[in-house]
Amino acid sequence: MLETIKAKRWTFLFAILTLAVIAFMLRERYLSLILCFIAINSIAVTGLDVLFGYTGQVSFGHAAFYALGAYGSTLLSIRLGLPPLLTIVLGSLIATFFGIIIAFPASKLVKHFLSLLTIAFGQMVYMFVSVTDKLTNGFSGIIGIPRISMFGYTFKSTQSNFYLLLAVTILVLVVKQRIIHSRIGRAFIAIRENPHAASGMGINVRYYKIMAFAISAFLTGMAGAFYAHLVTFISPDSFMNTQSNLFMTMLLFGGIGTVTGPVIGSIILVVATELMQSFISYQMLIYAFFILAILFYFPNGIIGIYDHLKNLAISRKNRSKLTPANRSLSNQTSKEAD
Amino acid sequence: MLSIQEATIKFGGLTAVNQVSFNIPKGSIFGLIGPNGAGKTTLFNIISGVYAPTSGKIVFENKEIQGLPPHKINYLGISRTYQNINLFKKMTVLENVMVGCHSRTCEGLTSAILRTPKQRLEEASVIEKSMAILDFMNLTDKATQKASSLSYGEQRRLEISRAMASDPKLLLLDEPAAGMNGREKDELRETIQRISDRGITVLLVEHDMKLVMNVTHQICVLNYGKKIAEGDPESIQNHQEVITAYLGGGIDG
Amino acid sequence: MIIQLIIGALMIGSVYGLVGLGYGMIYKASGLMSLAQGDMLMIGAFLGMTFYKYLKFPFMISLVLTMAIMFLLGMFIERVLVTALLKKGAQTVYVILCTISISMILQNVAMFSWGSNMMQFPSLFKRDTVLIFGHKIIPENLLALGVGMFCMVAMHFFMTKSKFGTSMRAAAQDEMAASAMGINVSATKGAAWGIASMLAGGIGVVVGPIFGVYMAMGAMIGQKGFAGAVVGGYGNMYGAIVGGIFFGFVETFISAYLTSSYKDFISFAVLILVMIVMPTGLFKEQVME
Repeated sequence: MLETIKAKRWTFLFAILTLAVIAFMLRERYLSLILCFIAINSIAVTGLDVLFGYTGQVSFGHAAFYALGAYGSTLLSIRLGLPPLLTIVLGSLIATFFGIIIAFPASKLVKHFLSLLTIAFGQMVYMFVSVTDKLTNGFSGIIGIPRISMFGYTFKSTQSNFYLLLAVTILVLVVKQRIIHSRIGRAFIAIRENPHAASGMGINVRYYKIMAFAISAFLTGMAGAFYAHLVTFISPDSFMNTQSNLFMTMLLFGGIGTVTGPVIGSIILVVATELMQSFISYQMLIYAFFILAILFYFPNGIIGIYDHLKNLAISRKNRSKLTPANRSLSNQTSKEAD
Repeated sequence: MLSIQEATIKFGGLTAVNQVSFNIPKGSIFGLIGPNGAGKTTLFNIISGVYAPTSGKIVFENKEIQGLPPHKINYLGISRTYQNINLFKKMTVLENVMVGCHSRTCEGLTSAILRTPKQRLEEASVIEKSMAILDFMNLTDKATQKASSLSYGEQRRLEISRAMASDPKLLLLDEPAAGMNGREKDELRETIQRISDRGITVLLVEHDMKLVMNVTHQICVLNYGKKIAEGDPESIQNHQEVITAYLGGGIDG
Repeated sequence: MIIQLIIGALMIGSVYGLVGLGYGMIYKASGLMSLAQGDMLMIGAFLGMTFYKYLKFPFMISLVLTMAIMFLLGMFIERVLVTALLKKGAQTVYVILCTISISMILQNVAMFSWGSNMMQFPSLFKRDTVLIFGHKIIPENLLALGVGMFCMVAMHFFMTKSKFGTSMRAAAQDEMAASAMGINVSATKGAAWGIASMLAGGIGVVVGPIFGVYMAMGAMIGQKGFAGAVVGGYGNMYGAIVGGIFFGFVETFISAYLTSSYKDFISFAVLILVMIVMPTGLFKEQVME
């Protein structure tokens, strides 16, 4: 009882602190932009998490969906004059469509080949947008992408865009939470843990793998579309395999298979990227070391570290309640765990 | 209830199961035994849909099920446990059983996202049903623990709990007693009896002869992929070919 | 014209083939995928160029020296990084990610050591073109093709006839049995990665004069080599060669007769098609769960 009050107090303090930081950053355009990028990346990486964290299907080419959403929404709003809010949805659906198509072969392949398939797919989308000049303007990119407007109000300033993105991000996280704690989410995790047994328990593994791809593509595509309408200029450069690797890094850094992991990963890596602007030539090297650090020292990401510390704190507290007589017994049972 | 008709499966040059036929009567506890490599688990895999037989039929409640994928077979009412423990390690005990309910529930993606009243009702009933099964299998106090933290015997019980969650008409148990001590085996025998009392037909693959002889109503014996005997426990115990198949002399137990 | 195309196709095909062969070797030996082969080619090209252009070593010495260094590099990565990761119980996906970060590190190291501009690998021959049967052929192409072919043949003999090569094949098929026979399985794994890097680096040296030497040169080649390995049957040495040559031809002829800007797009499309229709590849290797 005392513990939950204590925990609630910490969460409350943490929330106040976060809001204070956000309010501070919103006073300045550049910092607001960073907040916007954090939100967009959170959505994109949440998409990747649904695929990799929950059904265990790796994707090293996720920038493809990001690009499909961005270019889809951009072209529809510029060429056809449709309102951005509509084109964002349509762009996301375009990404979803391709997600489903690629899911058919992908759901059959083993880890290694899935990696190659997703890399190849990522490359194909990148090459298509850079080479098909007539449609996408190639490497010169597309400028003048319209801002989002809703009920007559146009989101012109970076700050107002952030409020919109914040709302969308929260919505996405709530949806993800609901999916995880449902029959669908359990099916996803079962597939990740043991596809054989999942099948035996009545789960149509193929169907759910494809569903995961669709959801994942939709979310990351939507992030791409929001990105386009925020920065009003896109070019193939933002959608190379480095972007795919970045998404993966964010996910692993934050912690896969959690709701807050993608957000934490986004925060850390977006901030790190901005801080690295002066070291732009070292950028790849630093990302590489980020990845290696995760792989070797904390594969469960920041959330993993937090959980680990929490478990340590709990077991330490339990141990201090023991008398010498039952202390050895507790040692035995805690060795059995995990 | 289940009729195996001339089931045969060949892997390249090896015939793992050779024209095996037998019937499992509804409501019985049926044993499938034989020396290592006799084809018992392979036959299990054929029944549960992991493999399609090269020839022959598997008929369940007058429906041919050979070649159907595992999840369809689960839907039709056959559920199984595995020789190596195949739990969802990172999920809790309760969640493992809840997964088992999958084929008996139907709420999809949209209702999950919208948290419709129907979906919330279904979730509640899934939790209730799963807790009831855990209760039945004496795992209630472990419900919120991670599956990987259970002892070996408890994990085996969890596998059975999970398999029961889909309301199977036929339960396939693949060497459920492996690695258990004497007391756990007695508990297992009791559990199998209680499962049978609930009206579930049980097909059991086991190496522990004492367990098999004490709990089954009928037994089929395989050796080198072929059926060599079928009958009630007493006749099997005294069957000459069965005794020789198990290396002549006494049957271990 | 068609002769030049064929030579070109064979040349780039054997580059893809050697890179793909390396991928397959790593897969057969460790059951893992390394996505850094292309960058090994790039580092090899830079090293070779440094030896030949700046240190003025004769070409053959540069080539052999580079290959030796690349072998050690590949072996180091496997013995130190990959083994350490596997000891921690990392899944294959994480090892793949590790090789991706190695790839990034290699590119950055190249950029620091040699700058980010394309560098010129001086021509190896005094003449720009030679006349063979009346057709003008660039001698560097022939050299690359020759070196490629030589390496492939050498690999064939090494793997089938030499003692260590046979031990490698044995360890790849069944680690426990091989180890019980007294084969040093860790050495064979390290050697597999080493050979893969060596081949990629070596062919990098000979294509340097043809394509120029720059940081990103390995990326595309690495992926196409990978594609070739998949089409031929991933893990199969001969499949990788056949697959690589296949993509060499697809690319060269599409470039010449259809469109050169979409050539990479089409190559990847072919790869994806093959993965959908015939994932086990030409030589029928295991790819599905």
